[in-house]
Amino acid sequence: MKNILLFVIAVLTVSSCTDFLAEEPRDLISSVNFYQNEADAKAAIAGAYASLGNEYYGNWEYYAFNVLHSGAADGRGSQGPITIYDQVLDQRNIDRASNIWGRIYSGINRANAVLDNVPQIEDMDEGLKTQILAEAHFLRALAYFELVRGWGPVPLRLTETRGLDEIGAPRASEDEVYSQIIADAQIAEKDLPEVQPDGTGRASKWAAKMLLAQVHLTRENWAAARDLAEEVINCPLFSLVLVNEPDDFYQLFRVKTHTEDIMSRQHSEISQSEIPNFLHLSNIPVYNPTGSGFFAWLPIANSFIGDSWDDNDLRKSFNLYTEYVDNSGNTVQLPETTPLLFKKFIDDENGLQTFSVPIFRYTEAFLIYAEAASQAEGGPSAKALERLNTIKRRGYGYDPFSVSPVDYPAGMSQEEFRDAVLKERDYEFLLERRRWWDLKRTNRVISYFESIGRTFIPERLLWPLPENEINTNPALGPEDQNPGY
Amino acid sequence: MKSSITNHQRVFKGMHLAFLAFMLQLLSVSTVLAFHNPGTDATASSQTVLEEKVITGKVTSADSPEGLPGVNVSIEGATVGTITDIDGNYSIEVPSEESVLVFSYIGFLSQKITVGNRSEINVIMAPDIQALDEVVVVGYGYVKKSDLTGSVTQVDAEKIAEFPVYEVSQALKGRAAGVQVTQNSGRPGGRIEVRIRGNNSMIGSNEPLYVVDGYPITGDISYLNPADIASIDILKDASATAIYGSRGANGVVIISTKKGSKNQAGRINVETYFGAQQVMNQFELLDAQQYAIVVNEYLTNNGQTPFFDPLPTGPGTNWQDVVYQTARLQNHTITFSKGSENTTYSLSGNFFEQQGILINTGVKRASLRLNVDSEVNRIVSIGTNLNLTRSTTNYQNVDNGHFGQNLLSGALSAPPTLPIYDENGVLTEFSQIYTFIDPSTTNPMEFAARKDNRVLNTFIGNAYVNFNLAKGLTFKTILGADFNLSSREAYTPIIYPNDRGSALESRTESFSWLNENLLNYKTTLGGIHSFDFLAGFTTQKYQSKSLSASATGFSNNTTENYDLSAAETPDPPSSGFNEWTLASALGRVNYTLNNKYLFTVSVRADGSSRFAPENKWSYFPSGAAAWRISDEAFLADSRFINNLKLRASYGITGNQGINSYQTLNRLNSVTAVYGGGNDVIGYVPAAIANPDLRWETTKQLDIGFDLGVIDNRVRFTFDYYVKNTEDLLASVPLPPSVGFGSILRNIGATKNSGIELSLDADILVSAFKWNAYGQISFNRNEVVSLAGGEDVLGSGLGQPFNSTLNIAREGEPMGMFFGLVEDGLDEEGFIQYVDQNNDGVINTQDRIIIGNPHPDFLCGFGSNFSYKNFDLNVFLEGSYGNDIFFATAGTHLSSFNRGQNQFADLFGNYWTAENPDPNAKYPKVSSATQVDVSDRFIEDGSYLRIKTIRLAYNLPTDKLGINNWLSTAQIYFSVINLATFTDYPGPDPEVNTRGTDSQDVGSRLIIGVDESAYPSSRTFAFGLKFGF
Repeated sequence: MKNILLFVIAVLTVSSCTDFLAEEPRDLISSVNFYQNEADAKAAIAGAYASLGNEYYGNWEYYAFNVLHSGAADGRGSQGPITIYDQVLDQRNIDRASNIWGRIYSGINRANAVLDNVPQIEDMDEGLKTQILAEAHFLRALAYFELVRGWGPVPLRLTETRGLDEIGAPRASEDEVYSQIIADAQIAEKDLPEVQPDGTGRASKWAAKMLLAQVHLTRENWAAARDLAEEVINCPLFSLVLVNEPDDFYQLFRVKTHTEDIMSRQHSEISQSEIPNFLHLSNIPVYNPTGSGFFAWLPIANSFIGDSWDDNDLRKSFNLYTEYVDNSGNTVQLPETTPLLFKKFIDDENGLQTFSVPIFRYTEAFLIYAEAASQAEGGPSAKALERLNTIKRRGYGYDPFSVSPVDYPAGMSQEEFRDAVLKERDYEFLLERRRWWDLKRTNRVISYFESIGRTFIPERLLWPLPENEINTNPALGPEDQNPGY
Repeated sequence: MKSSITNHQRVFKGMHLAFLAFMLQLLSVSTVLAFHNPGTDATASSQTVLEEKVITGKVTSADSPEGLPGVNVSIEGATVGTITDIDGNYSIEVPSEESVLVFSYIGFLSQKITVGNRSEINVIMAPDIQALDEVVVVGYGYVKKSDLTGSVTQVDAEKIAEFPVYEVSQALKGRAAGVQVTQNSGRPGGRIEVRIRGNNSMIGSNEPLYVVDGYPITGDISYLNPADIASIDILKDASATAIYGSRGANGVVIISTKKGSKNQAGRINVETYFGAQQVMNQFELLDAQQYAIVVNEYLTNNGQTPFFDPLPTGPGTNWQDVVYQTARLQNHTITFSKGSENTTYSLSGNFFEQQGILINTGVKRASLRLNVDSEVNRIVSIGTNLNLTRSTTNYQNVDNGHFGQNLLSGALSAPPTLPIYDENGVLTEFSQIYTFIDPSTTNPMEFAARKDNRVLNTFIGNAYVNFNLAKGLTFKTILGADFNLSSREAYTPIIYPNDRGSALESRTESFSWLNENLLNYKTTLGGIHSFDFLAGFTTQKYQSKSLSASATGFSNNTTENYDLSAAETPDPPSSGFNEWTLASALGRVNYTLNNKYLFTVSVRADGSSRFAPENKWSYFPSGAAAWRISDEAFLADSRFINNLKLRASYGITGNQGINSYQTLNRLNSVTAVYGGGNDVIGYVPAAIANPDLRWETTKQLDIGFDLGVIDNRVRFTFDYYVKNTEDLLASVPLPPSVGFGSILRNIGATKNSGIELSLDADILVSAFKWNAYGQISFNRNEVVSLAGGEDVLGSGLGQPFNSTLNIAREGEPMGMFFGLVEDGLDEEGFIQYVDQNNDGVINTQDRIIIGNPHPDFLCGFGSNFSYKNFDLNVFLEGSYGNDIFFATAGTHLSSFNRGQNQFADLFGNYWTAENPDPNAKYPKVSSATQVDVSDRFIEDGSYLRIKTIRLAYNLPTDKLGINNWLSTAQIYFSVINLATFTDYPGPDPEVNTRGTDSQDVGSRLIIGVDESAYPSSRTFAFGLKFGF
């Protein structure tokens, strides 16, 4: 009997164990059963687009870094040290810079995963495959454009990381990085459709042209930037929204899309924006009716958005507020600790942050044209001046295409004209993450902060690399850290 | 009430006293020794050898005519003896006719027979109804305590019963050497951490495996009614735990519940107690006027106009009185048990309720347990253990609160100048009245209005069939199941006009089944070689599913969480699935030579689904030897040493550590939005997979001895151990540019070594009985190696602290406190720090190790006194040498820039422009003042606590002539946490608010933090016990 039992035990143990111990996940997908068909390709590119949401592009930490380096706002609370420009970042904000770096690279890895795996999918429409690959190129170009402007030379990773043998990568020069960005963006420009039926949350050919135009503007390839901008301006898909009073600008910011929307971060009730919370106090009817409001970005009164900003510019009272109407209809002044706040981005009527946040807006094509044409042509042409005036007129509530009392005069020098264009960009794109990069590419960071009585040390021009990047990337050493950290 | 603020100057030698008390106990033992005169020992005369005589005979059991093998036959006082052979026969030489033979066997009552002039003595052994007292339950079986080769500590049911607790593990605190029990906070039903011989792992669990009635359970043991427990055996060394293989590295706690006994008359036991709990220590906070003065100072320092003019008078609102309550505690258990010749059963029902000392918190539990064992015929016997439990926890988020963002933190932060309700009877909204106050400062009663109920339904049951195949050969198969259904219902009500209300419903269902097949063969060869073979294979499968839905935006509070569709904004529902399997083969041989030399060898092979195919199986061997020196001839004569056993063991155990699916190349789902407010699901790479992952292995050496002296009245156990854990699972950082932050790898090693001493002495054994016991354990933890030798930092503590606190550094204990050292205040009244590296700037490079969260030693000791019908139990426990990071002080020190209330100690002790004292205790009260992780908040967490005092009166039912219907009756009164001797300035030194099961290494490293912990309570309980 004993022998029989032992035999049974032995048979049972050996025969069933392999199957019994096999691991079969059900609430997740593994790479073994993915990248098989069209649906997988769509899911892979959607994953890469998710990085544009609250992971990096729309992530509040990254947004805060852009806003708080722009000289328009002071940080509050733990973001306060970001606007102490005569010191390097404190540890909390060094950690934030590290988070941002990691999230951007996570987005790059997702784009790389699409570029590595989708070409092998046989069971899908070739046209769709081309488009999805173009979108991945676009997203990779956009991510590296953010990185190179924030950190300078950065590791250039062009394939998905799959094993521990692939972790070493040195900092590639800015030229190398920009070459890659341009190459990626050009593929995107070539292969992307003119219109994305799903919405402006996806990149179109025009979004790729705007990206390329920005890159060329940054690299001072003036003619290339000018010509791309001109193509966009002439595209019949887009037109300017007309305004008569400040709140009319909410036709651009209290909506999901509009006629100036070339590409934007789209939101839903599930994937809400993080930005309005950082502008407002809690329980402010219309702007932020919820109980959560961080009012972390406080407008700097003596900066370019202060007295020097013409009160007749409708964008001024659209962007800033000192009082609001409470639920009983009474006008309430903001508390004296925060007498002035921004209101470009607000909640919807349910207190949800579902409105879109621009990535590329049509008006920028006009201003890129104006700046690039004047730089390329040795001074402002009549057309360049008209393009600048178009945007200013709209901002003041005039017909954008007719002569107005606020027009810039003809005969400005190239330098005066560029200053005027940059100023117009500051007002038009306030809190839209243009100004810090504009200050940097025109070498005006230190002089600007001097003009508002603040010292900006050169170490603050580049953000620190994550400590982990230096320590664990075999191709980097302590000497690769940016100055000051 | 003790001040909540540090009084560094106060010197209390509490812990030194603790040590003294332990030493005193040792002294008391020596007292026993001193008064003990071996010359008067009754057994002494039997040693006179006149003539030798051989006695033979056969031992049988009461229920079978067949011989009983392996029965110990010894001569009283001489401790030499033999064991019966396979047919139950024995033969022994006795020195004289006065010699007394002692027959003993596991599960049977010992018998003493005076030899007289007989040469053949046959014995029928009667089963022992108290069998569990004499044996130690080990993995997949039990052994006689004297045959034990491993390090196992027993905690008996009586000691557990002294202490009214919700969860059994709370009752283990201070009771067993080498076992550290940490109640993370005083929240009823709150998390309890049990560590046996230190922390091994940084990612894997450090909790021991709980085996209840043979069933290795997958969750915690909060479902168990402590009154149902018959015994707890804590397996500590590798010899004892290796039979549990990949789950043995953290030790194993084996719990046996009460069963009926054979031939036992029907019994009904009723146990009931009621108690009242109160908070032990409140924080001392600023009163209304002091608060107003501090706020004015703060506003002035910020260049703003003072707010309070004139200053308020009177003490204002004491918000702590608002949130604390005297809380009810009650527990009722009724147990029915009976045993016939063939069948025994025990059925018990229990209701437990503990209100929390913070309002709107508490826990309730009802449970039902049935244990049945029956012999169907001579070959087949069956049995079952069934347990049904439902518990409901009224949860409040209390631990780790700051800046008034939960119930307790809210009470500590609320302005004492404002009332609870405004003139309309609505909860006062502080920020609507005070412009200077941070809008996040919430009226604590708002939290009290929130609902968060967590219900756990547990069914655990198993059944066995045992075949007596041949003499000494049994085959047992067990099938068990463990089913948990937990649910959470939460609702945040609409209180103010702009509130929207939010609700959550979630369910988690987990199920595991287990099959064990065990073949056991006991035999004795040649009368001196006794073997016990065990072989078996087991399979276990676990599966869990979860579903959660929530929504925001209700129009009223009527339907709460019961109609999520009534909300404007549903959140995305989420669901999850998890599964693992474990297949094992195990074997063990116990060999006893001459009843003096004991050997145990065991091995287990474990196959786990969690690892990649080539790494699924591992082997966990162990070996142990013990030598009963007291049975050797040279000690047989000793009248002093009755028992002396040396033990040594070595073995390998494992820790599965990782969660399911970690070795696969996984993709996670994420959400993108293209337009129109529609979400699109995308998939992204989740991590770089590491197919090389394998078990963490712990190699443990244990050397110890058990000593019994003076008629075994003084029992002493000593153990020394070294545990080396290798292949430590570590989250190894990656360069973030690869797209991932870290990868899980087997890199690194930790070491725990220590000494454990326990002592149990019957000091007085006459009418006045005094039993004293105590244990002390010293564990030293060391991080031996880490990936690349790099420090691993714990996660950030969050606001207001800028840097992380805990660190794992090679050569140091895990989780040491790491931070800045303060250097007074600067000329502006801000905190200055020591520039450790002298580079002119204060940054993270200036952090050093500033504290150690691990105790030098843990101890517990107590005494049981009994005189006539009175019993008195006193039990103390303590911890010495551990530091605590008093984070609550940090969050409060920085919260004046939110306009929140402060500790009373701040008043008059802060830096002012008028009196710019660089050594002022507190910095300038201004919005620019910041705090960081520094030595300011490191406090000595040593304590000695009078855990229980219990006085009981046993009704003499026999003398009253009522024992025909009432066999026992006891009435008792007990006090829990009567007094705590400590220098710790917080409300309770027994705290660890960041304790977590997370597999995130950063979160796991955080230990020893006290951030707005739910305070422990002092309990007064009154109880009755009846046996019918």
